[in-house]
Amino acid sequence: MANRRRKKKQNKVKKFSAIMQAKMNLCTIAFLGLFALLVGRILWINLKDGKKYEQRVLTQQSYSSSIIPYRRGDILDSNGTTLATTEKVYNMILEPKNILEKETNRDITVRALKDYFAMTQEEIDDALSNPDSFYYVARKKLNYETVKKFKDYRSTDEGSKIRGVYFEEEYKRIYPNDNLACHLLGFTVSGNVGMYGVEENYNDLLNGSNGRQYTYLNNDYGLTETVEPAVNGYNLVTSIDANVQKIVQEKVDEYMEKEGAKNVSVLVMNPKNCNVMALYNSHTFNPNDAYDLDSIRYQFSSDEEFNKFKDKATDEETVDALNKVWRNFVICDAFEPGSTYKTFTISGALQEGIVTDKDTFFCDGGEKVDKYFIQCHSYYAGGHGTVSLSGALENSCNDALMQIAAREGASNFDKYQVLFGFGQSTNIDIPGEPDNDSFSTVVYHEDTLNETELATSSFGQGVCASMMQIGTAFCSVINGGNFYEPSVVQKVVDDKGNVIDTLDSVLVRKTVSEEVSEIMREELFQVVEQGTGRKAAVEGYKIGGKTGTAEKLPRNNGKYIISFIGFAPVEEPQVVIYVVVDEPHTEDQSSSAASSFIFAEIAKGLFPYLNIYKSNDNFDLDNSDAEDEMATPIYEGEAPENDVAGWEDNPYTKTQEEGGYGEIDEAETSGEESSDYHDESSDYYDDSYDDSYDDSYTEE
Amino acid sequence: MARVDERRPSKNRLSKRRKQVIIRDDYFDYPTLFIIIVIVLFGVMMVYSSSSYRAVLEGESSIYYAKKQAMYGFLGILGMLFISKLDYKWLTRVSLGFMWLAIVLCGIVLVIGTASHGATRWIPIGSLQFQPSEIAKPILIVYMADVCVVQARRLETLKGIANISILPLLCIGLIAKENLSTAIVCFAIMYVIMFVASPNIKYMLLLAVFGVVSAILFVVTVGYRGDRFDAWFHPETSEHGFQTMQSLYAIGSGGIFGRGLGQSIQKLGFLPESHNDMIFSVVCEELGIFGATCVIALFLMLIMRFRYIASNARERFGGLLMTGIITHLAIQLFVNIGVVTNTIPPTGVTLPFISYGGTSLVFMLGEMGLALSVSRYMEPR
Repeated sequence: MANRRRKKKQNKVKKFSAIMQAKMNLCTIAFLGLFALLVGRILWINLKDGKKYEQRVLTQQSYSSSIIPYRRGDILDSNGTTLATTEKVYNMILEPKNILEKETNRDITVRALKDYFAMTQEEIDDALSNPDSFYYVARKKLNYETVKKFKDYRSTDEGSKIRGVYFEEEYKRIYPNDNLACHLLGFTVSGNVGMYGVEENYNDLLNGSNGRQYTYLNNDYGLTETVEPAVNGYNLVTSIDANVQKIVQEKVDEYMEKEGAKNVSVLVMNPKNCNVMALYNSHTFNPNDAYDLDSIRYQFSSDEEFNKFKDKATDEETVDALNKVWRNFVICDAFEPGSTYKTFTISGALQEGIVTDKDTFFCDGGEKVDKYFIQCHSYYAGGHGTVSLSGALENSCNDALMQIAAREGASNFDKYQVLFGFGQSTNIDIPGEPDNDSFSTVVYHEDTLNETELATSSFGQGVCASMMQIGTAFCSVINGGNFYEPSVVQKVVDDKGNVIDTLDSVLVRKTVSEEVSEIMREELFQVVEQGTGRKAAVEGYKIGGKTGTAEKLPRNNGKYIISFIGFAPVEEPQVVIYVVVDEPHTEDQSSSAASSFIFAEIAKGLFPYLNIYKSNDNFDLDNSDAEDEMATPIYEGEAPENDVAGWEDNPYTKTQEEGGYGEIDEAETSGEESSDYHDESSDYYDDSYDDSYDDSYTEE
Repeated sequence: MARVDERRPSKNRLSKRRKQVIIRDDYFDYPTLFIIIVIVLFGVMMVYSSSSYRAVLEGESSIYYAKKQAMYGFLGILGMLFISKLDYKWLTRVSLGFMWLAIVLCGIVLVIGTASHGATRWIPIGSLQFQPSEIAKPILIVYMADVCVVQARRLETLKGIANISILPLLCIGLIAKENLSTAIVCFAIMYVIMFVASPNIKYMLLLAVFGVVSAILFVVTVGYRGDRFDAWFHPETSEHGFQTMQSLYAIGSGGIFGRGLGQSIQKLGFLPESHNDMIFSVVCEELGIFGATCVIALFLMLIMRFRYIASNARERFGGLLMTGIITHLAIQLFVNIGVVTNTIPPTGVTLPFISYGGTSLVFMLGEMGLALSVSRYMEPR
């Protein structure tokens, strides 16, 4: 029995003994405790943070809104040609989590990414490296065509398996003509912030406001979507004529290639309203990529130096160098205009009745003023002899001008200086122009116009002016005395074509009478017909104009800034072209030939385009014997100290000069004078031309 | 029936006869079946509620996930009933083979995972996929229960314990490579079965103390700076705390009775994995503390039922099997809800029966089939 029992026990399956059951119950009780802990935890969360979390849940709902970007307005020229526009581009966003979820979908998605967006395996691995992510920017600024092809594929059966790929829209600024009118237009940074030119000045009008797409829960806890559309920016119609601008650029570039100069600037205006038709500085940048360093290549004498700069330059140095390219010489820099200024002295004297067109003057080669003998450039030829008022302008006679100014007196001279807008801002609608205070220091006023200053000012030495000031004043002289505020933007139009605002030319004041204007037009015509401006003549056209040459400071260094300002037709001026050549690469820089030549070249291309009629029948083709205006030192012997107004005070007159702004900045007054301007415009306008700029040419 | 009579020790004939009636082959533990079906149906409902938004977003119909879940639930219940009809004794013959199968499958998934760049827990079979780690859990229960019966004497020494643990630890190691949280659940199953079966409790306690201490050391030294712990301690500021915070928002905003079934806001794109690991926070948000407690109570009822079945199991194998199943249910429930409520560091395990997932549901129900099978051969004392 016992044996049998044992055998039975051996065969018998082992029991789940009482002690094991006890242990199992112990475990169960432990689990029970864990569950109690969880229930307690849920209670605690609700009691402690319930209210807070409830609010959090609700506020989160409003987060599900997405921005609809507005479109920055276009900039158009006067014919409706697009100068700056905005294109929709697409940023491709990947959602790794959704892509990786299903193997079949993943494979199709990955293949599509490779096919349509040329993503490499490495790029894809990189993008999917965080499998829990929902946001990875894989491609930026894709154009519509690329995205369209992908979307077409997506609408196929196979393509519909693509997961986790979507596109965010963005806008990109595009300048279809590259560097055309770059100094007028400016450029944009970080999408919608305008820098320089129209882009900066009209930034607020060009920009619109973003729209928004909200998704929220309605009363039935369903999702409702509302869209608040974006307000697009306004388009601007400017007075710029792309064709005129193109002709100007071509001709200047041709000259720069053939002859070369430190800088050539051209300003083309409509004299009837002082609108800017074209503006060009020979060193340009491409606003599509304003930070491209190729645009500063000209500042270096060799490729090695350039490469060295690219490698070594700090950000600040790079921006400084770029600022020189971005800077608009035409409105930012003042220089001694030289003989072109004579136009204004004579106009003023005529208007005041101090001289008449019948008066004659005797030039003996110079004038003793105060304790200095101030020369006419005919000094070595023994003087011009007796010259009429018209002859004084034709021959650019300093002596006659000094006599006129002396007759006029400081008070009258200053009156017309102010009337013509010298020493003041022109208030043109592109940024960068020095303010009134800064400009005021670069001319002599009644209290500082002593004999010597009056004498030199009369022929444009010792005073400084910007191209824009001369151009504006010149327009008023030839258009019957209407002094307008120069402007670029003419019309503000919304994206549906409705005109929002018309920016009419602002007539500031009358400078001279219609009669004086007529006399001046005739006299300026004679300058081109038989005077110093003959090289500017173009067959068949009645052109009026005036040359100008000025020796740059410091005196006697053989560096000149030469200019020609002209208009056509003489009877009813339709266009004013002002050419300034800074340090032409010719043997004798003092000759005004370069600027006249460029003027004539531009005129030849421009006048037919502008339909300017030919009214000059007796044109003398042979102008090879034409005498250029020559600049000679105006003082016999030492020049008086400080012979240019505000020279030591104002940075804008010196920016083109050696040492420049930086050196003289220490002068007590300068900091004060220009501080306003500098504060607002920060470092983008840092105008100190450093040595490298000058060196590149002086060494040649 | 005769077989049962023969084996059962009895003191008097009367009681023997009376009990004979109860311990019939066709005994079926209907309360357990009822609880399981209720939980599965509740799960399908919650999957529908929490996944419909996502399904529509993905271009599917709103019942896409719920339909699949219901289908797997139906298959699972059929499988469960089939398994419950078998005598679970057959498992003892195949437990070692199953163990090796689990090890191989867990190995394969690692190889596949490496080949396809990026972690995967799935093995594809045709158009279907399944997760080996879900199979490993019931296999581990069966193997441990079997080994602890057959090699009971080995449990008396540390060396023996180590010997027994070799294969399960190999399998757990492979799982841990991809899915640490499931490995932890497996480890708990292994430990509890050995603890219950071991005649020498002091070794097991020693092991437990050793485990707890080393875990604490790990947290304090290495793990403390890790992302997971950062997300656990400072979910509001941690960059990995998003999911945790969203889950807490859902739980906290539920209140006593919740927003009402289907009214969760958090499931609308804010709460990741809302139909999966995080489904319990949707339960809390929609049904409140009351609903959440009810769900926990359902599981508790199931566990108490299993405890009863274990206590009355025909033999030690059945008892240990039930111990493993109880541990599996309880630990997985605790880990899931612990993560959702930020009671423990964030890991990813599913809420048994309720979370969306075919493999998990089918194998869980298969396991329930084993429990029902054990219940059929109960020998109440």
